[in-house]
Amino acid sequence: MKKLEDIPKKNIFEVPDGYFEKLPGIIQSRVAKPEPIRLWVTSLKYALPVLAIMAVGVFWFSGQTEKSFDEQLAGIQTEQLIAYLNDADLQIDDLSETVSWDEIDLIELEDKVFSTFEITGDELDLLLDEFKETDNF
Amino acid sequence: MEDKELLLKIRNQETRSYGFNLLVRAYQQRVYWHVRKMVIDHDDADDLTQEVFIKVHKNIESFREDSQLFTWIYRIATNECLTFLNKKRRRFFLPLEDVSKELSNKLDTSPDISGEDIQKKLQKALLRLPDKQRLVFNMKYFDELQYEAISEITGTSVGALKASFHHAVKKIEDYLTA
Repeated sequence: MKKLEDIPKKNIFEVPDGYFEKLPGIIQSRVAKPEPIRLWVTSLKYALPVLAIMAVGVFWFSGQTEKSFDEQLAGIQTEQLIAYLNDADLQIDDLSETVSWDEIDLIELEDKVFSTFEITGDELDLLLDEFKETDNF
Repeated sequence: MEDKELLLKIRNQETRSYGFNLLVRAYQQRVYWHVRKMVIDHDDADDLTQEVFIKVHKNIESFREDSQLFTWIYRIATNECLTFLNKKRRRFFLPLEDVSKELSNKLDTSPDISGEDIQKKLQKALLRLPDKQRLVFNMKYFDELQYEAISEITGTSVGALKASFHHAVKKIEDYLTA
């Protein structure tokens, strides 16, 4: 069996001539030089938020245009709609001009109105009296 | 010059550059040969040696003198070698054996490697060892460091180092005999 101690201990690696004379100077010049600023890191630091905002913007606005009118309307709260209609100076005539009613719509509307209407005969008489009074003005 | 004097010069702003130059001159060969035996190739060893001293320069203020200066520098060099070899493996998705083969080929083809066949064969046997075991073997066999110093450098217990060296010798002799 070959033993380790039988092998003469020798460094088989070599270096180019004058390597160790030049090395301290090379290292010295490297440590004296300021660390190069990694430009791409700096650029990325500012570019990434901008890109993220742009991506969100594109997504947001492209999503908006794809929504149908009905979907947009469905997204609005009833309270907001009522508030808007109250604030907007709209007349019944304006609305009736923009909305086209067919016969079925009118029957449905009538049903809805009367289904919420529970009034006794006395209340109706009182209401009619009030109506007559205000009508005098 | 004593390490203490070197450190005093480096820590004094006026003599810092001169002191660091002295430190490089004092330790460059030990660092280079330590690294070269691990990475085999001169250009790689040159790059790593420079990186070691740049790290030494950057971190010399944090050196607390709990250990000797040379063990601290050796530790940096050792870490650089291990990181380099791991990166080499990861970059090319190479298993341990392939990196060993690549380095082994360099032993045959590099113009700046001489020596007799048996010494090259010893280096090839070393390349078959795991990196850390090879490091321990090199420090004990070639650099003739004490186990206590190797323990400081590697952070491994003396007992574990002795066992590692013993196993390394066994594997090498098996390879040389085959």
